[in-house]
Amino acid sequence: MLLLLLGIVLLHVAALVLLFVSTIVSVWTTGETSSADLWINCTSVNGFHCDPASTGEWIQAVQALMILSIIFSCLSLFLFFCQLFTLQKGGRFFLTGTFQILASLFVMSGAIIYTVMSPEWVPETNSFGYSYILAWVAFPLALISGLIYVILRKRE
Amino acid sequence: MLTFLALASVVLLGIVPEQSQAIVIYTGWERHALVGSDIRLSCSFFSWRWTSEDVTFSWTYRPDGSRDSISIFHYTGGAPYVDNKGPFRDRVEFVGNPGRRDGSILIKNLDFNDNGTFTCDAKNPPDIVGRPSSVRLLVFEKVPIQAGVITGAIIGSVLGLLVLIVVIYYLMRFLVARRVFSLSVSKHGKKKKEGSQQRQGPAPPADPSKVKASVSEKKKQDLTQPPLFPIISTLSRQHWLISSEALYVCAHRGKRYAQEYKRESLTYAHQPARLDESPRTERCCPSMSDLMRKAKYKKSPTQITQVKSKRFLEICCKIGQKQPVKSWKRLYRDTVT
Repeated sequence: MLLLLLGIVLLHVAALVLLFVSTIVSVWTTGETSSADLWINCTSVNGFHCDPASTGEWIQAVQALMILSIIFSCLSLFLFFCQLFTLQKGGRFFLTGTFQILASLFVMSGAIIYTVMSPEWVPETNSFGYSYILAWVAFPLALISGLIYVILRKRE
Repeated sequence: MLTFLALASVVLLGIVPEQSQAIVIYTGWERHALVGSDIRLSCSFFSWRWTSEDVTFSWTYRPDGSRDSISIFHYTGGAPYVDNKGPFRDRVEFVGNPGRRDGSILIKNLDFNDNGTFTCDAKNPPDIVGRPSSVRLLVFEKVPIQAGVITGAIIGSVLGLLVLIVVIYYLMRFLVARRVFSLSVSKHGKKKKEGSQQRQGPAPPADPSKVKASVSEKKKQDLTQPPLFPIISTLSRQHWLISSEALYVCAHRGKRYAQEYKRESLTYAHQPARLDESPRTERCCPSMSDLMRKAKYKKSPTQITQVKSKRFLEICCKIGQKQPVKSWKRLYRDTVT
């Protein structure tokens, strides 16, 4: 029982850490001389310097969705610990699961928008960086974690 | 010594007013505008002197990427003179007030070629030493959105929606409890009247238990009808029964109702428990201990319903009797462990 609990919490924390890394580290697209992400564009052509990201609507939407997914995932972790102590025996962690599934949906929307707009933002010579891949990995992890919460029943 | 002091003071007095005689001109730093719109370029000055009648304003324009500037507006001798040959002909209008040291102009129907720097120079004789001030004009096809505005809007709206949903949920729960309480009060009042009429109507009954059975049957029919409030009817029947019975007892204190509740609970709730027959009538809330003790004999469904109905009872007791609920939690904990 304790092992199961530990495993579930670990899965949740792993998804949360992936979300954090994907949002903060600046490697959504990489090229030989430049790297860009949601917040800044850096080039190392004439000495390394960074510009703030463009102020288009879609990049701001991606920023907002990633931040919202982090907020919801943190909220669901907090709610999980709350519900662990206050839920009736045999009850399900609906609230926790709902928030985690919402977080995974937000990550999915953000990654999809970035993919769709990538011909505009990612030049031909550049390729997607590891932060982008982490965002895509975080989505199924968070979804699975949320589904586990919805199916799980409180025992003992 | 004295002459030295006098000379020094004269020199100082001579210097200071000269420095304070510089005129200071204020314009904006940068202006953004849409194509086709009008823009007002403001220019005002500060001077230690009174505003003279010979005050002059002049505006010059230097396009982006060019080094020459042309004059587009001049105000002198109390009359404005606007550009009638250059790129701004018929588009410049004087909207300032020289008496109030305001030399603003209005440029109409902007175009992309109007991008550039506008310089305002004002002179207030004898105060003529000053530095002209420039304002940069940027013309856009559509105004760009600042960074972070949409991000903040999306995050704020989603979190606001979340808070709204939570508030509405708790509000509905509270309202439902109040509504159920008031409905149960009115319904039980009606049934009580019907029951008493039935008892008095027919001839003296041979068996009192038969009358009571008929009364309880009638009540059973009524009790199986869920109240009109739609949210309650979606709850499970047992849930509703337990909570409404408790509310009936809560609403009507009295020995008779407490006993009737016990008798009816035996018939409907299908509880095999033995009830304590001692009448507890002073407060509505002690019958909750009956409920709790009853629940001990049953397994999980009653526990779930009793957890939910506990909320109703708390609210009902608060509304009906204004008793503190602290004793309830202790009672609950004592009876259900």
